Amino acid sequence: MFPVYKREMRAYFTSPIGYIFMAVLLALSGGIFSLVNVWLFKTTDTTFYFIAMLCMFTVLIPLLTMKLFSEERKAKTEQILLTSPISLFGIVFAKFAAAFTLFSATFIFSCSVNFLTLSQIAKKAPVFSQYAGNILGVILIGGAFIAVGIFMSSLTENQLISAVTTFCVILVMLLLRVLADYVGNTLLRSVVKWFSVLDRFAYFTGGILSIPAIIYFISLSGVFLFLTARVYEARRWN
Amino acid sequence: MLNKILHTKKFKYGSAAATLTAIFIVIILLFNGIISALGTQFSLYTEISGEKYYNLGNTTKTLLSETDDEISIVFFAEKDLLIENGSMEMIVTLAEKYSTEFKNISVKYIDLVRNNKEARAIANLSTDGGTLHTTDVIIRSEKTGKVSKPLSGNSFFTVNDSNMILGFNGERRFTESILAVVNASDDKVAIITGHGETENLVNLSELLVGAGYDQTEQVKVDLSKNDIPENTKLVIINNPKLDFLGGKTTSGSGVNEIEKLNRYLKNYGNILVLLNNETGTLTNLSEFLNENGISYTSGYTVSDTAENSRYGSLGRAVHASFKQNTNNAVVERLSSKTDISSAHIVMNSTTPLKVDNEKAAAVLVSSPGAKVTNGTLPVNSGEQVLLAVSSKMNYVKNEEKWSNLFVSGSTDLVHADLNYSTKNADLLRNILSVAGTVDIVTGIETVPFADTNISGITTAQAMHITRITTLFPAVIILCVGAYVFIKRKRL
Repeated sequence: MFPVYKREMRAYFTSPIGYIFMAVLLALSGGIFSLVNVWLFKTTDTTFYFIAMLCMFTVLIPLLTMKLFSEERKAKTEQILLTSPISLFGIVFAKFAAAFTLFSATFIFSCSVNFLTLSQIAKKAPVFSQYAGNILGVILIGGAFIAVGIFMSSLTENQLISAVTTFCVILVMLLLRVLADYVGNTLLRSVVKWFSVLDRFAYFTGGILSIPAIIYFISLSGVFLFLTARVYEARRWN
Repeated sequence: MLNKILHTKKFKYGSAAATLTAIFIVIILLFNGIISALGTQFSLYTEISGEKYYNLGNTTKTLLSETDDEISIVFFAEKDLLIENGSMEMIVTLAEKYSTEFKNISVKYIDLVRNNKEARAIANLSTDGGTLHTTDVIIRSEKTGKVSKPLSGNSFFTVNDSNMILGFNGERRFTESILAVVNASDDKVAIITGHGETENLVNLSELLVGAGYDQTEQVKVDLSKNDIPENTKLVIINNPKLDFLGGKTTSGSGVNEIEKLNRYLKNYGNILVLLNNETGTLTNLSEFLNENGISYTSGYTVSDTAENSRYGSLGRAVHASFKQNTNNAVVERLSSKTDISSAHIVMNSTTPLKVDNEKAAAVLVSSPGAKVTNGTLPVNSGEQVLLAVSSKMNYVKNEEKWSNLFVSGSTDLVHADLNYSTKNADLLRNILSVAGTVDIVTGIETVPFADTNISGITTAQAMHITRITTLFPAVIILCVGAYVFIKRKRL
């Protein structure tokens, strides 16, 4: 699994895609932080910043994940995957880990710059534990979105279709909270809100580290990675 | 063996594989469902904010551990709808913390809209009496059926003079309300009527309910017809416009209201008289106050331009502070219980009081820069007495017995507009405490909201920050990428 992970990481840094993704993520993160915290609201409260970043992930994550399996399928190199001695789940997880590493390292770096900036310009710096909690929540949600993107990528050889479907699924996951307000039935509304990513992230912005939310985000990643492995298992035996 | 079976084609591809996948997803869902359900019970939520809004202090733990009453904290909307509002989310989270910490406290959610009758029954309200809102909270003792007054969501927060939310006082609100329900007694507060005492009565009633006296324990008493009931811990005379009957009345009925007040004080009662600058010359009442060392002059007004607050519609405001070094036990107790460091005691339309130091003591005073006027004519200037107390103590069967006569030069201790932005309500509660009526909870402070404002940033500085956070990192990464790309091309 580790050789696959290394190969994927090398691929990010020897092709333009890794640099473009990092540059876009850094620029967007810094731009949103400046706009929200420095220009508009003039506050050290980073709630709006983190929620805005989650919304940006609907566009960013598909760009990162669209080629992961689609390209292999289009280039007909997936046979190498299917006949590899490494378990399919190992391969899937290695690709996920590489994408997740690139995403989380870039995001953490950007948040560190933002935190240092806030510490310098504000009378009172934001509370580090709460800030770190928010970063953890966003990274775990980002990981779940990457897993969704990988799954969508495994279903098609067309990268554009992969990107669009990933975008749609992530958008629905984010909009569940809004959709729930239109559900009249109490039980159904509770169920919809239970699945809502933003409802669970609200704990972090409220200063609470929620273990159930962390387990949910990790489970979400696990389910989509498992489904990706099942897709390739089916393809292998077909 | 199991491994071998699972690695066969049948379980890798086909309907069995699909079934296994479905089972796996169901297991994950169930696992998450169980974790969510047990989350509150096993403290799977940890507060990481700097301010610790949901921390229950030792005072709360000590006070509430002494009660074994089954307490319900009842909200009147579904939980998922309540927590969409940030303020209510804080109150709900704190309530559930109480439920986790104390096994005898539970949290309930009743939809006021769909189950109106049930909700009103739980709040001990009849179907056509008393208002209940979806953002209200009540505390109910399941053992005695006693219910607190509906606590509005706003009452869990403190605000300053400009109505800006300063902090969260949920712990104090919940602990006091739970204690008030658990320790409810037969003590009464008598509100005197019959002399034009009609202002602020609703708010006074609400303040008394908040201090633990529900509606049945607040008694309106017309002294011309009735005596002060037994078990009355405090008599309140709120802004009288007509004089009290003293001696024989002009009709010769012989009713003497002042005598009833005197008798009540002699029997170790407590009286709070609220006056203001519009209180007329009430001869009998003034004589009663004079005998206890306190007097006022009708028409005199205190103003203090140096410390005016912006309560324009309520008249000229004076910030009151506690008189220092009085050597008076009651003044010392009130002063130590009422924290005026974060918000003031504000009095409007105040008449100054005169105190005979041998019989009474000043409790609250104005600043030394205050002025007294009679209409537009200046009278005098300097520190003015705004609240005074005349106390008598005796030992009865080796027990200290006190009687206290409080006189306030302003009716603003019970003004609704000043409930949450000043310490007026706190002072009233502490007066009730001195009257021996209420377990005032001390040691639980409001948790202030952090000041998250960024001020003093110029446009140039903001542009500089934008460049640092937005452009520099991205440009550096792109340059590195370009370098690597070009180098690989050459290779």
